Amino acid sequence: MTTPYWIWLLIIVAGVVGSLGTLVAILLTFVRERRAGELW
Amino acid sequence: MSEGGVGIALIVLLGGLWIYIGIRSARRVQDTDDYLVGGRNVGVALGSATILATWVTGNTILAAPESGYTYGVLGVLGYAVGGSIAVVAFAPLAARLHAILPSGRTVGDFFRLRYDTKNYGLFLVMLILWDLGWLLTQGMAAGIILESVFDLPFHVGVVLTIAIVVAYVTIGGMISVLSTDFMQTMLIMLVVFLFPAWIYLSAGPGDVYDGIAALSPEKLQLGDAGGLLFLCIIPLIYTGEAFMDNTFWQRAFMLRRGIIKKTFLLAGLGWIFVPVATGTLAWVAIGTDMDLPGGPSSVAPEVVAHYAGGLGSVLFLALIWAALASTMSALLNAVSGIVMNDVYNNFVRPQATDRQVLRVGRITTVVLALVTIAAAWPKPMTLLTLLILLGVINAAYLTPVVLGVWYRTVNPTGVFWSVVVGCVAGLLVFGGGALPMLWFEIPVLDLPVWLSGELQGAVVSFIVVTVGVVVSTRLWPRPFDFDTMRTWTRDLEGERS
Repeated sequence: MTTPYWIWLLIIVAGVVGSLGTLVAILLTFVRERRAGELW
Repeated sequence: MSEGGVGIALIVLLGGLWIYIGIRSARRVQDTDDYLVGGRNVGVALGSATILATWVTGNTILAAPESGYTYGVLGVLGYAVGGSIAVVAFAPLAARLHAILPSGRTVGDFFRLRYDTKNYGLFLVMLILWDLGWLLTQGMAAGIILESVFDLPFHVGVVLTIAIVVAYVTIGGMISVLSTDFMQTMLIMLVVFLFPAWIYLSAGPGDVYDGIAALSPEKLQLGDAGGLLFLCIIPLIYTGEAFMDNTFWQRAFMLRRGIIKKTFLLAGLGWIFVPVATGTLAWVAIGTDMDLPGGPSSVAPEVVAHYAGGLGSVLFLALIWAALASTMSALLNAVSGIVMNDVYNNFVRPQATDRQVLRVGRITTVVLALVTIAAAWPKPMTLLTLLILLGVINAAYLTPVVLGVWYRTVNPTGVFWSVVVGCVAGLLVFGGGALPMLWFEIPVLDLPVWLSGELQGAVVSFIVVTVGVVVSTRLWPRPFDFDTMRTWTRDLEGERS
């Protein structure tokens, strides 16, 4: 079975959006935990 | 300034920043728990960042594209899913470890308390070999990258990288690793986001897809036998690595109670996007029929250099270097942890004070760095095979870890002999019927092609050990009281106070 174009494109978009999403998620958690004094 | 000069300036700048942050945070280190498990109160942000920084190695950034270039769509998915499953699967294990061994510092603590001396000794030898092999590959890779891209002599690159890492890990241990890992993860995720977006906008995704369909349609197939085998077996190898490796166990012990599963899940899901993002870069090379003078292993840097120019190339290689440095710092701390906690404090000087153990840890970190430099000096490519060989051993320890953590009646003698037999069987399959000894092979029997190779060796090792452990446990169950681990916790705390 050949990968359809839209699935192939979805994998690329997932890589890009997911990396940015992870960066933002960790950064926001860092800010929240720092304010709450729960960083470490 | 030349591109090489910009690259070296960037590395010195990043290295200087990490040393500054690492040494600044090292003031928090008061005892061995701080040095090895970061004080046991680490939150989600620093916890997930350090898991990501450790698990995103130079390999993730270079081998995922290679895998995508070789196996196409299945290669990228296999690599990404395999590594991610390993981290996510570690989440319940980490939570269980908190419950049964709350004062654990290393994976060695578990093997010593749960099994017996022969299992503990065998495991320590395998673990130290594995971690040293991994450390060596990261050191050599740093030297090779700095040499090939910035024209820095190989030995200078190795010494520079290791010196920067040692400068902050030796004093601050895990506390410094946590601080620098956070910054390194931010850098890695930023660069990993930027380049695929930039390159696909330049190359045009439709044109790349049409190019692959015309030039290498098999790379778009989801039913390719080689790709499917890779997709099925790679999670086993990665999970074996994670479940055996001390870097993961330290991160399980360091987290605050109540956030363990959440932290490993965030790291595991976040990790998946790194090899997906870098792996998809390889498809541009396939779709545009790009010439790769450095072979498939250099596909990502070649694609970046082609589309993002010299400066983009420098930034991308700084990313690889950051990934190498963060993994190296975690490994140095993990191996020194095994030496100070398991070798020194158990075998050499069981009555050592916390201060003495801490001092041994710092000395060991420096000695390990010197050993890594000495081992990497002749550029021993043969030694790199060691790491692949040890995939067989990683797979062998998966069942003893999982069953030992959850089941009461696992037979320790059954575990020991199953691991020995499983490793020999796996290595034989790995070598196609010959026992691989790095520099030579001992021919033993003839095996068919389908039963020979790295992936097959790991599967055979896993199956043999699993059958051996399950059968020996059913026939001769040996009840174990998990409270002894909890009691050990109380004893240890009593000694410290």
